[in-house]
Amino acid sequence: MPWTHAYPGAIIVPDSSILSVKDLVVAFPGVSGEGVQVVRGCSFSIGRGKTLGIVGESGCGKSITALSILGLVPIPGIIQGSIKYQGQELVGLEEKECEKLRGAEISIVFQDPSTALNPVFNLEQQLVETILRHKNIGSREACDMAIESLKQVDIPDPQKRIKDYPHQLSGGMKQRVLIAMALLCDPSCLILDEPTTALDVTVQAQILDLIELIQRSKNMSIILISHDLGIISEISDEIAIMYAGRIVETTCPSEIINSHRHPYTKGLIESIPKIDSKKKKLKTISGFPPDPQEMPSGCPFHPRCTRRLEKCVKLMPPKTLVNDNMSYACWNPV
Amino acid sequence: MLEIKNLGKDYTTKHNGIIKTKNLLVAVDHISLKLEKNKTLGLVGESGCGKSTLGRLICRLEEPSRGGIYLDGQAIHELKGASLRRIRWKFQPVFQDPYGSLNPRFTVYRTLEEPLRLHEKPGSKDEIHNLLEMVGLGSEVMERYPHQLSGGQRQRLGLARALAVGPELIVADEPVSSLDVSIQAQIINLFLELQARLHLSMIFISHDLRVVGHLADEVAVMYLGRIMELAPAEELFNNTGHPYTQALLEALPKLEPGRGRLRSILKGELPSPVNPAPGCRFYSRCKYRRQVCLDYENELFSIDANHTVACCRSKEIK
Repeated sequence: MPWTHAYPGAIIVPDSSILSVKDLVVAFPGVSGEGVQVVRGCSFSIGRGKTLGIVGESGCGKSITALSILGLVPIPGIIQGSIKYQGQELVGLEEKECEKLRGAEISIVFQDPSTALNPVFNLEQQLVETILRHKNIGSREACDMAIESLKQVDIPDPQKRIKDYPHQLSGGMKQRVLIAMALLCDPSCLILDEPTTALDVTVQAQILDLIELIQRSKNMSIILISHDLGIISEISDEIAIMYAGRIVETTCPSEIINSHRHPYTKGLIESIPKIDSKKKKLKTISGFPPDPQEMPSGCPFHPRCTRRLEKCVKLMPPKTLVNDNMSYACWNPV
Repeated sequence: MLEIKNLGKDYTTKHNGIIKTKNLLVAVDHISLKLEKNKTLGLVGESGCGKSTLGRLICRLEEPSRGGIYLDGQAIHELKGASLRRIRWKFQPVFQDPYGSLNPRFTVYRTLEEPLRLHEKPGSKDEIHNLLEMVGLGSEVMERYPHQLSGGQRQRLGLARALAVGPELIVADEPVSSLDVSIQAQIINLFLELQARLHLSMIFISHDLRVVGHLADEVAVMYLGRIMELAPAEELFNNTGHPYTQALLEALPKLEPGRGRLRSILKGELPSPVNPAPGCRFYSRCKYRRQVCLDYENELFSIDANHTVACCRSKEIK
């Protein structure tokens, strides 16, 4: 499919960051009053037209980070730190202002395509609702726009399919519809939360190709959240590895295999089974991620770490910069 | 040890509109496989390809429509009622969703005690303790309920339950696909370890070629109810004979920068298995299709020792 540039002739400064998150902390007040920190000081930024991949196991805080960018952290969650979108501070923004940005400027595709669509409305109703919410146009025009958006994500026969209800679509189709919905208002930043987890490898490959194609044609920034390092390496420019609410390493796809520094990254890479590694025992990370209510002292990874030093038990390792795009937080790096 | 001959399973779907119609859904068709003792057979394919149905047929959780299943020479597809119950301990299933397949009202102890009792191998607490230890669970979980266990622990319990009666064959249906990578690796190791220790034969069903390639001795690739390619794991990946296997391999995420790579060779989705058209099952999505493919019914033929393919153009496209 040919793709055209959204703004022909526009000068794009490649590294001007569109979204920057600094020292983000998300906490949920607990019964004890202390509160549980789910995200514990995350900082990252993302350039225009670039993809940032965030990897981590379930419960590491990656989805909550995404929700906090959109101002969707469920009550009674508390956000601290700073999230700047094109210079505008999003933390503490009023709900009305948030609503203007959400969907129009920053959009999200949620993990489970079967629950993210409303089962009692057909696609047309759901897509048109989104358009009318943000744009001041007539409903017929909105309907044309909705059909156009389905065409964009390669849904065959969009004029007919737009009358379908979610249960009439396959998993891959639903994911395409959700991507179409997220793109309706031409956002400049798209967050994809595990967009292919529920899908077959073949459909996953199609969705990844689609995401890349749309990104190129619209010069969109993408935050891709996944637990699969393979998918992240496929379409990211930068990778952030998250563990227990913190980013423990930032790197890029060309460096991750051979020059990773954090033992957790090493563990993640080694736990992926390889097609040709016949019946060999996989190296695993022993144990499981810590409970946010009982965070270990020092480096949160130390109970599972094979390179643990005495210092790791007591002191939190600081972020060490390797270069502009690479950093790690470890006392005894690989 | 296990031999499957020409196995098939059909479902009829009724549509009661103004005109009543009956459709034939062929879920599994013409499957012939052999599995030796202490070996693992991997089944891969997209959802809806019939791999789970095949697993359920082997466990006798579904009645086959035709063909036979022979375990150590015994025709288990003919057994019914009490005689089937008496032999069930030999083949045990492990399911994908460890939460859905465990009774939420049973403690870990009762979950493991029940199969022992049903198969008249009443177990003491010691025996259950040993079972738990075998799958890497401490005895402190004995009195816990499934909701108090993590995903990995539940999958370990599901495996312990299958192992409780001392089976010869384990049929594992996507046992690791709902787990995080680090936990997934632990469970894969557990499968490998237990297989070596207990001399188990295994059928391992998964949509993830990486997992299957790692665990299995032999891999069968399925598409719309048929086997498309059957070969030892290494041979299948190094000397791929079927365009569908090729497409699956290409679609796998690789651990290297992939910006701009075209990943999807296969367009569209798995066609409906209802009233399948004659000719090669893969025809509609194959980029190598020709007229001859329409007269070809996916009979398997050997292209090498131990390597069979169901593609009539396999030699030309290689």
